[in-house]
Amino acid sequence: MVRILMFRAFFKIVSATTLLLLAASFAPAQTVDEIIAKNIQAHGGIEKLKSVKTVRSSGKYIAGNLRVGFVQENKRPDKVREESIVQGAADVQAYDGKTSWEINPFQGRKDPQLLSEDESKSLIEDADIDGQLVDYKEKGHKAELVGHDPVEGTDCYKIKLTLKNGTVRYYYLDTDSYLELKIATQRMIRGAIQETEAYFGDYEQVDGIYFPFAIESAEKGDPNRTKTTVEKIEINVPVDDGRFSVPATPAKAAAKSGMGS
Amino acid sequence: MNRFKVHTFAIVAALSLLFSAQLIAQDGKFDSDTISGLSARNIGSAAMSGRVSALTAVKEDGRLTVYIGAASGGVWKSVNSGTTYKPVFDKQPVQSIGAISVDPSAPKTVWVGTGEAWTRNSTSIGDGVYKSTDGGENWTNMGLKDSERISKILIDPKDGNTVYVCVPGRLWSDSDERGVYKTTDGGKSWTKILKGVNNSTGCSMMSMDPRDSKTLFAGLWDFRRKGWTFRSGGENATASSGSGLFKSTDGGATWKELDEKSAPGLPAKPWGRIAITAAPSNPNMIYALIESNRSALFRSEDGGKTWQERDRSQMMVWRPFYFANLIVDPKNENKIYKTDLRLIQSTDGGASFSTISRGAHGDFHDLWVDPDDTNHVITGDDGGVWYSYDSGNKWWKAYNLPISQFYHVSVDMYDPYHVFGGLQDNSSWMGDSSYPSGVTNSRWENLYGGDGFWVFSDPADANYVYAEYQGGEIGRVNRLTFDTRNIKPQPNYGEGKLRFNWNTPIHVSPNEKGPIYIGAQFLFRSRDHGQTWDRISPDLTTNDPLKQKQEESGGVTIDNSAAEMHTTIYSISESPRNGQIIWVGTDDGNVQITRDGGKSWTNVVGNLPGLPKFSWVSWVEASRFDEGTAYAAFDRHTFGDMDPYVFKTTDYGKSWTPVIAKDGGVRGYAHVIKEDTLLPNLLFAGTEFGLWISPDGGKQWAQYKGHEFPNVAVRDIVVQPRESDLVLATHGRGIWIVDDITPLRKLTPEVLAQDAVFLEGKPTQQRFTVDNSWPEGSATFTGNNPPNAALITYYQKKRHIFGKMKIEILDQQGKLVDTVPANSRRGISRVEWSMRLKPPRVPPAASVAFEASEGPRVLPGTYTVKMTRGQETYTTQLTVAPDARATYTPEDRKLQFDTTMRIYNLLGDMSFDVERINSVRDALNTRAGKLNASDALRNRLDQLSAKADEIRRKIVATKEGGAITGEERIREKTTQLYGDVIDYENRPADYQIARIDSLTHELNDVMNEFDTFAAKDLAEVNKLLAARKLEAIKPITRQDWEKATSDSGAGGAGEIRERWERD
Repeated sequence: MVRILMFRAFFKIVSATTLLLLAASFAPAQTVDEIIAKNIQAHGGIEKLKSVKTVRSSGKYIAGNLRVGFVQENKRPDKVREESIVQGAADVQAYDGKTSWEINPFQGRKDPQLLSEDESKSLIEDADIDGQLVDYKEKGHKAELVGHDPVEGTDCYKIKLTLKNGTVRYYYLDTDSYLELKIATQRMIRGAIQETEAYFGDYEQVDGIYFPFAIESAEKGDPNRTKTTVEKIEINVPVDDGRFSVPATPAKAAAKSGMGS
Repeated sequence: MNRFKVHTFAIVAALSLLFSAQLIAQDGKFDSDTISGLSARNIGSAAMSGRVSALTAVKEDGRLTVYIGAASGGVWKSVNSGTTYKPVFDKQPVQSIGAISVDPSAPKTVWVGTGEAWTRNSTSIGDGVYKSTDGGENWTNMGLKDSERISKILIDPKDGNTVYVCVPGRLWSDSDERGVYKTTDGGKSWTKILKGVNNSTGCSMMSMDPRDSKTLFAGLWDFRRKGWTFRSGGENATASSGSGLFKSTDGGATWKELDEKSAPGLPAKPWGRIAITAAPSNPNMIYALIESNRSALFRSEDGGKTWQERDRSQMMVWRPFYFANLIVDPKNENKIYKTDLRLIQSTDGGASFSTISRGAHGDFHDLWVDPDDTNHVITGDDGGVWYSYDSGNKWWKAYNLPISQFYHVSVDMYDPYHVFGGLQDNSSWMGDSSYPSGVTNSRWENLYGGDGFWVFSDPADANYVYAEYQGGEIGRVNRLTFDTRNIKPQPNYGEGKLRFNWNTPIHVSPNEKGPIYIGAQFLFRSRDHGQTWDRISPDLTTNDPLKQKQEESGGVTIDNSAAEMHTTIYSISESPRNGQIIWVGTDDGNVQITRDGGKSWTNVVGNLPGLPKFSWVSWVEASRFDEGTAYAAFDRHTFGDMDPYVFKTTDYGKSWTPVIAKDGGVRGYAHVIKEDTLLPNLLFAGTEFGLWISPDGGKQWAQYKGHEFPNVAVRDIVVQPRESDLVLATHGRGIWIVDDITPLRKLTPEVLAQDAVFLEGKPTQQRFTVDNSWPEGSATFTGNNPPNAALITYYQKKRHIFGKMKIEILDQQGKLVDTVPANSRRGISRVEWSMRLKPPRVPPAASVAFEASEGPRVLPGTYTVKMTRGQETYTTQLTVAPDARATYTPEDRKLQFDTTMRIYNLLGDMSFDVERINSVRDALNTRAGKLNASDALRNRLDQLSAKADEIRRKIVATKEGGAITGEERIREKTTQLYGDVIDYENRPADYQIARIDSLTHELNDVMNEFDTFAAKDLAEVNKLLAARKLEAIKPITRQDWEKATSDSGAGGAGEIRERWERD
């Protein structure tokens, strides 16, 4: 199945007035930390972000001609569950902070399998509920301002973020709003580089935090992008810890997935 | 379809096609980003691939990283020994590569010298030396911007900041920036450490002592090319030349010239091109190829003090300007490779050589030997990249490098249309513009031979093709048998040579099916497929005898391959408005017109304002809209002038105005100027650095960069008139197609001033949905097809960042059919609508029924597209038509659609039925779970749950575990039927229609059983539950079920959430 590519975008935003002020303050060259701070501010501010304990987002994506429903749940600390749903069957990938696992029921298997370390990388990165830019130093990441680089004709700051796990993410932040317009990711899988790109749009506020509701993602250079439409984002709804852990029995996992067995 | 939620908050404004009422304070820009949202697709091909001028490789963590420098197609990188490549230099302003070197002490630091050093007539140009410190992700131009071409970069293995660059310099004109340059600060500053005696002498090759990085050898080369001649060395074999061989032992601070006096054994001067290399395993062992009156390989065993002549076989000394590269095996000082027409190899220190390139293309330029396994070599030639694992005995071609160098392109009227074109040293080919499996390498057919240029399908007989190879060798090729007849016109008695250009123009009449033209110094026309030729002009060139001395061309080594043939006709255009009007452009600067079918000719070049004399006419184009109007492009790069010159006349050439203004933003010498087929002011210009588009007859130009279209030479352009596809012949990156440029025709200033507006495209066809692809592994190129979707195109003045933006499709009744994710980019955006309804709801079962994962394709007709963007809405109409090749009637198609919908609805009913059963079963289980194990009621509840499930198992397959169970129940039979009917958009078979009734009946039988169960068993147990004050169990109602699943775009998420809520 096609993985849902990061709609990790726990961003926030600012009032239109603030944005204008930000845009006006072109001033001397900004440091990478200043730009990241403005990005965090643009999403809603650090306090707002930190107040988020759980997020559940849902919607659908189109990959080729296949239409897939999705649900993603995040919970502090470092828990994530991602489901891709076809005909009521949910392909599940989840990480509980320690173990990453999946259930791929599409061809009849309903029992969980462990994910390899490399295959887990993007999932574990997704588990960062704040997004990698927040507290990046404390997380062991390194940020560097590469310069300006437009995204499809819109000027952006390009920030290179090297994650502690070796993954490199290039953030393209709109120079007006400081929001992500694109993230290009380079990840080593089995010693080979895997490059993906995601484009973000339709930013809307949920409980004071700006999220992108439209995401296009693809392998680098592939014109056929997976198009994700987020329909609903719920903040701080109760999400049971058990949803992130390896299911004790296949039956339980299946029941959770609504398989009606 | 009424279950789709409509986001009413967004519908705030009345629908309006163009929201022109809005006042826009600021006009939109017409620039590269305005037009580049129209994507382009590369159809290759990598079957022939193209000229590779430089390559290298480096081991990292046991894996081989390969860098390929294409002569005019950028740098390609592989991190898996060549299994896959990606272009890494596309964003740089030039694409011609002369040298690539990886820092021996830092494998991520890569240096690229731009500008090919194999100075053939068609070579491109560079703009300096580039450096990447991250393995090619990002590049910085480090200077030497006027060098034009670079042949070698040497990096001090002990100090990566010390780098030497060997600069041949400008090919077509004198320049000072040539010789050997050195930096000691990583490229921040450069010092010229070796210069030639004149401004036509630069560095042809350089080598470093592998153990002492201060010891350097450099060959200086005196060379010059003009449109009509070339010299390697002096003007002739005995004329003085600036070429020479030099050695430094102090890092280039001082140099000693090595010649026959100072270094005994070297040949007498004058010299031409020099190749030099030190054996990696023995620094005293030096090899040099020296072009002279006794061209040969020379070897020194004492670090260059004394020399001995070695091999001087044909492949050692042939065409030194094109082949001057020596590579010594890293471990064996006596094993040498020499690139030439053939790749040759010596194992006896250069005394003798053998040809080892059999099976490969030919015209080799560079080679890399694996230092860990010297049997493993990689080489590049005019046909791409080749790998050998047995030291060059047998070769494995890289089929994943679409760096093909087309000169021209044409199309036919097949559906899908074919693309025809000829390439540098790679023959003439026909390819598919699309194919069910994608445009794989195998969808290209070789038609002819030699270097290919113009190729046309014969408009009078599509089974034949006109193709040519260099020097006017035109042939008429049977496309089915490939039987070929040479139809080159011949000179008259005593007349001397017909002068056919290297790239001889062939032209097909746009007015009549049949007549073709070919140009020498005279214009020829044939009306009988080349059986006879009419000479319809006098000599239309300057006929300057000084430019006709090709037999003396070459410098030290005579080289008269037709590449320098001059005073020839180069471009021909019959007016589509009037077949009596023919335009001709010559390579020596004449623009000729006849208005009486060739009886009389007028040279109008003198009317061109400010154009230097004798400028090469690269293109003449008679307007398709007005018979007095024509365009002419001039390419002056052969005089060292890299600017574009394009003019337009509206009075048969009496007066001309520039179409591309000086400093108008168009970069690179002009190859082609073309009008759109429908809109007179929509112009396309191809230059050495890309494609430029003007919406207003040349007032504004913007570079087209759709889907990262690189800054590659665009040498020919054609609009396929039926499809409105823009087909581009690039010289270095194959054929690219911009599908349906109709939206470009709508880009008026008024449109650009809008915040957002739809741009109408051509009517959409529902092309057959077939895919016959087959796994080829990762190592072959496949060109993308056009999307089999309705393309919805719109323009936005600014990127949409905040708030919902969505596109909805409504049917003729205004009912919502589908929702399409929008694209938010500035300028033109194009999104695809699959033309399908949402997939059917399918009951959950043991596995997913992927044959029912797509919805039916809507019926042809007119649909309304509504875009909601923040608070604004916009609408347009979309016309959907059947595949033009389809044979079905509208009634057939409607029956198919209706049949599909019956199955679709049956699956929906079935989904509800299964959910009814599940709702009861789950409720039974829930009630049971609240009772003690010993409770009789619990036992009864468990029994009923099992009974309900037994009924369910008659509808859906339930054997889990992932094995191939072959289990088929009503659901599986129905989804299979659905897949069969949906896949063939034509009249379904009667038995398929009848099958729906059978399956419906079978489902009803099962549900009757369930109804009985509910009426009897469930009613009984409800009484027992009531007695225990437990809630009665009722199957879910259709209404509740519809509600629970209504917002599920994919038949899933909503349903799943409902289930969680029940948990």
